Amino acid sequence: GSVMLEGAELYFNVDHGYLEGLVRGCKASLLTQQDYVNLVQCETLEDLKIHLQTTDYGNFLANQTNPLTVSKIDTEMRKKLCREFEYFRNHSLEPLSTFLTYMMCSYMIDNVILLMNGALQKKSVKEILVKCHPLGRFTEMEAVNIAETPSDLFNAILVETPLAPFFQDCMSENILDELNIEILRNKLYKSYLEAFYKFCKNHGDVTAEIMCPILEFEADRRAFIITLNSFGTDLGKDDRETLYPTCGKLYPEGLRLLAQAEDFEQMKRVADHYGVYKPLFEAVSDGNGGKTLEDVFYEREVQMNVLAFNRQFHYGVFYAYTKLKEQEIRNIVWIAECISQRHRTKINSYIPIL
Amino acid sequence: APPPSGAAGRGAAAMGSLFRSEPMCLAQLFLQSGTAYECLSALGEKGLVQFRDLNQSVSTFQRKFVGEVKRCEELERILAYLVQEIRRADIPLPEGEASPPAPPLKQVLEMQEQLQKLEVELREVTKNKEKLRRNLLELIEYTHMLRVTKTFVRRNVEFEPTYEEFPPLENESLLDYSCMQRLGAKLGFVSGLIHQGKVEAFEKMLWRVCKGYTIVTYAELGEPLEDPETVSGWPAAGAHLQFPGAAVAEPMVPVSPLQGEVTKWCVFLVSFWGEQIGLKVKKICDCYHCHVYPYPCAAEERREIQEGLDARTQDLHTVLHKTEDYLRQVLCKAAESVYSRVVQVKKMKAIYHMLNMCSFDVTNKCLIAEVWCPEADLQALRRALEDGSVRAAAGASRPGACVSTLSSWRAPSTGPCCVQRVRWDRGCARPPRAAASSALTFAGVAVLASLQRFPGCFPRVERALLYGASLPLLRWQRESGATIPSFMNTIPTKETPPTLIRTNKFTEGFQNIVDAYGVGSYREVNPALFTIITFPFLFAVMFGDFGHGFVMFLFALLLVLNEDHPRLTQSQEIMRMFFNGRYILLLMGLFSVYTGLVYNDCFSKSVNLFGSGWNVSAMYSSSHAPAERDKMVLWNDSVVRRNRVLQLDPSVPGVFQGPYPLGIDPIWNLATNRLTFLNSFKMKMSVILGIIHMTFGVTLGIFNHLHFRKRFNIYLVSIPELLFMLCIFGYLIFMIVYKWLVYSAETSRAAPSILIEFINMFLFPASETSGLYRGQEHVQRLLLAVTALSVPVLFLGKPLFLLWLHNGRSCFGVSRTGYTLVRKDSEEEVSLLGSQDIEEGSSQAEDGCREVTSEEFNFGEILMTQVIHSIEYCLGCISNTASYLRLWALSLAHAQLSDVLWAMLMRVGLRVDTTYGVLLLLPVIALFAVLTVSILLTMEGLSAFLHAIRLHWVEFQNKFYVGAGTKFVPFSFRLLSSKLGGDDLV
Repeated sequence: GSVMLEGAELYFNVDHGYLEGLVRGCKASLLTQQDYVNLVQCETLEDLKIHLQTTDYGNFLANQTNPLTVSKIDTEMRKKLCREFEYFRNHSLEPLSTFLTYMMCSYMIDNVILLMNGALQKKSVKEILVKCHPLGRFTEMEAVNIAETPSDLFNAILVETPLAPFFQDCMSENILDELNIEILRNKLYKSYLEAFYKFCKNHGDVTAEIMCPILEFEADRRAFIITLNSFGTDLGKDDRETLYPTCGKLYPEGLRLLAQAEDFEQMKRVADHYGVYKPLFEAVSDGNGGKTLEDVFYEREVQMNVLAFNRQFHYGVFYAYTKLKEQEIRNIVWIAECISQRHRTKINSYIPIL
Repeated sequence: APPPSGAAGRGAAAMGSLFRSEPMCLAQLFLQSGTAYECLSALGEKGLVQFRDLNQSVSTFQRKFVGEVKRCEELERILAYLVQEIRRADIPLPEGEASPPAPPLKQVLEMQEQLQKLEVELREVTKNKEKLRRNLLELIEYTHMLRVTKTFVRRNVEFEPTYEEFPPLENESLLDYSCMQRLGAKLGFVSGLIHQGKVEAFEKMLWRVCKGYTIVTYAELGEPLEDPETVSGWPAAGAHLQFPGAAVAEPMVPVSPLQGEVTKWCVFLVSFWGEQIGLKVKKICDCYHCHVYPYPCAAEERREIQEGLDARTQDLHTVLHKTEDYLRQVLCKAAESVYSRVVQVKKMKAIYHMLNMCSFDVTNKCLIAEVWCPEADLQALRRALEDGSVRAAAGASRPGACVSTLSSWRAPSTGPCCVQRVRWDRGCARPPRAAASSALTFAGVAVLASLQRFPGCFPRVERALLYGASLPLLRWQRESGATIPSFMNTIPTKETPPTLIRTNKFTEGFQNIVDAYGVGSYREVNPALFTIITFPFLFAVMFGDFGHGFVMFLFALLLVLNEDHPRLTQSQEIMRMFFNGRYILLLMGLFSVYTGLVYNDCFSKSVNLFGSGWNVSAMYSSSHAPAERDKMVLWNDSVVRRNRVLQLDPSVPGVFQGPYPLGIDPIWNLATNRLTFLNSFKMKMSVILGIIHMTFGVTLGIFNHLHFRKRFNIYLVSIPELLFMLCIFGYLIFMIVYKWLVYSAETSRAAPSILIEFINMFLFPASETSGLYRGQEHVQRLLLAVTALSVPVLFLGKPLFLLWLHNGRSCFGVSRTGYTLVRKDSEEEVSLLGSQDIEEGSSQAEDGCREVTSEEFNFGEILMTQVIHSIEYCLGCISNTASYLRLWALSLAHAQLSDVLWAMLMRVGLRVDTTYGVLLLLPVIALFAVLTVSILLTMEGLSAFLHAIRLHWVEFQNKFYVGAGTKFVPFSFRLLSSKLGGDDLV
């Protein structure tokens, strides 16, 4: 415990040195600006495949039979990321393994919600399973459509999964309709973020210094996005406030103000109080061709994750690498979509990874 | 790795020298689009040239031949699939000895069709087989399930009465007995198989979800079964992580064809009440990937199903067998040609990769490639191009295209107009008309291409003229439809060519030692030539023991004699290292034998080969005349008895009879002051060897300056450097040798210390010392003055000279050097030019001026570089000389270690008395041998090897070697891995 806290530099490499080296090596294989310039020039998905072959992706599409589709590329890229992550996780020691489990939880939440939404729309489990993120897979998730209420879900299905602790606040007997599922998701995510934040904070050391700002940003981003999405729905202001994660910079004043916001302008006014978020909201421009709030947040996230690599002896690199890789996948999918739909005007609005 | 280009079997003209890398020239190849593929195929077989990428700015997928590359990749994919299937079926894959040439273009389509057809067929058969096998496995599972559940039924029957206890749990009111009937009807069963590891979680979830409305019974299945779901033909390639060292992540290749994962299973039976619960149970079964099979309630039904299953299993077995036989036939047939196909496709892909590096000329009829080619191989290159053209022409079955080469065509930067000399290779006295015209045509193409590449080289008027002259030629060619054979011409360039030093199996290892430090700059003196001798020698100085040396020599000899043995050539890791360095080891062993003889060390013992030069009995007083006894300190019985240490006095007549013929006198092995004596000898030897080695390095620098025509460097750098070194350390050597020669046993007491003398050389002591010789002081002052003078020359000479050149002589000086340089190149043309001589001269002057302006003159930078270099050199002279003392230190360490080993093992073993001694001696000798090999030969050898490498890289090579070149990597099919399933090329 306390020895660890004082001497990350001394002891870190004993347990985690190999993996840290590995993840830094993996980070070096992220696509460069030049790669993106080349990708954007591609005429067809085949061209894209050829160019990706010259990068670290290698011949990951070699076994795909023609014709190549965007979803095939997406799936294969996710699989590759998942393989890397699994490798890290299988070779990790405590407390890094707990950290990595925390990282997986967010994907697990997404998958559970996805499956429940699918069950609501009477889609077959197999159909939905394909869409689930491979990082968030676990055995029990295929059974989530049995549950009818959140407490059912907890008691019967998820009680033995890592997601169980996040259910404290959302045990209710409400029937799971679309709104309730969304509320469930946000509540789960809130407790998840708070727990993850607490874990990093308690761990201390460089990990806390790196991870806490990233998670604070993540919490605030969720608060903003929840607010934005709740405009024009029948979600009450008080209800809305209960969904905000409380581990961000906005807590507590900002969140209270945000709960009262009624349109984008008011939200922007809340953000103006914070030096970090003011420039982000200013970068958002209306009209076509401009950046959306989402894009701006993504850019900020990429920036933070890249900076995480400047420090050594902390777990943040694993988080940052996974997030950067995910952003890269989003970028490639965006470019691939633009190519396959012949919608080249917007092809350049991917998020550059510095 | 194989040598970069086959040194063997090349004509004597191509014999390269090891002293310098070979002269290279940049050549443009004009490949007619029709024949380009064949030409490159011919070039690839010979491995003559290195291609330059002319389309660096073009991304991979925008290049010209990307379609063809894609096709090759498609073929590779199919072939990889075939190889995998063949391996899975355990069919031997013959790897042919000879590598087939790249397929002619005509055959490619045919091959592709064939392979695609084969793939489709194979996939279909495999799919069928998989399906059949899956069915079979399911049937087997079902059979097992039925067998196991039979026992459950018996138990269930026993439980029957207890059903009555459950109804109150249901929320329905149960009033009459008929309800029980209804309940009985609702009683349902789900049965199937589940992975053994999941049973517990499965049961827990069932209990949680269904709240006890179910009864689960399960039993382990005795034998493990294959999982029908994992039966699939195609594990995704690259499905494993490829981290270095992560050997664990190797993909699990199934051993037998199409085998599913074999795991342990549990058979379960869930009995439940109510439709709702039933649905939930089914969902949970899906969640845990159970294999659910219908459960027969009645015994008769069960028997019927069982019989049906048996019959179907039989049928499936036969069908599966037949399918497998057919599949095997198909694969066997494919296996015959698959190796050559793989090689062919690899070659084809390599060719297209190279073609992608070429640019197109204006008319789009012809590909232009730029290649580096050793000048010695130009003829071979021409021939290869001809071969390629002929083959392509034959392939296209066009009437014999006239093949001729345009030789010695010079690009226009050497003169205002290009001079063409067409040589008719076929020896026709009078070239046929068509040939003449085609020759003119490709002259036109060449001119145009050069215009494109070097627009700046032509004065504007001439450019227009040349266009004017070449265009009609081209137009004429297009109309007449004459074919242009591929040809080449050399073009001058200012870029530094790659370095090619041809090696053979003997010199390769030494060249590798040098290349590991840095590949030599183009045409600079190659230290590898001298390393062949100096490296093993310096190693041996540190490893001087002829016993150890001989063992090493024998080991290396064994490797050399068996060098063709396949187990050695394909060896891995450490063995491979030894094998590649076998000739180095051989020489190291031989030289160690020599130095061992000089040190007179054999496993730390001295050998008395020629009889010692010392005579002990001469020291006794009894052996001398009484008159002499008084003058000398002699021994008598009491002296010998009383003293533990006795001293031989060489000045006593008869005691020292003259030096031992070779090396150290064996009597020193007995002396207590042996170490002192050897240390003095080895230390001096190290310094002498070191200074000779370094001086040699500086001298080699002179050859570099001569070759690069920087004569001023000799006077301003090399000679001051030499003076600096020789005046201080050369003089030290002189003193050492002088003292050895002049002082004898009689005068030894008067001999001054060299160390003191050397220090006094710098300190000018007030009191007169005896000195080595008369006038020593003056000589030393003179040497010191020379040393002191050479330092400022070294610091400032070169920068000031360059500054003077730049300011005072401006254009004139450089243009003259430029002129001579180019003149030498274009000697051939000069005779042909005739009246244009004068014009050439003027254009040269212009060229020279342009050169100067393009090269930025920065005095500060030159000065800094020179000052740093000089400081490094002057300090280095002292530190490097000290560094050579490692020769002494390591040789001392080696001798002492082997001495310790002998004293602690063999001496103990030999002291035991004769009766038991033999028994003990055997294990002792074994241990001695093991330790000798592992510590003295391997570890000590490695350390001496590393120190020898250091002495070469740092102390020797930094005196002259730049090592900033790039290696010449020819486009050669030999460099493609010829292994099946190996990773990609390029």
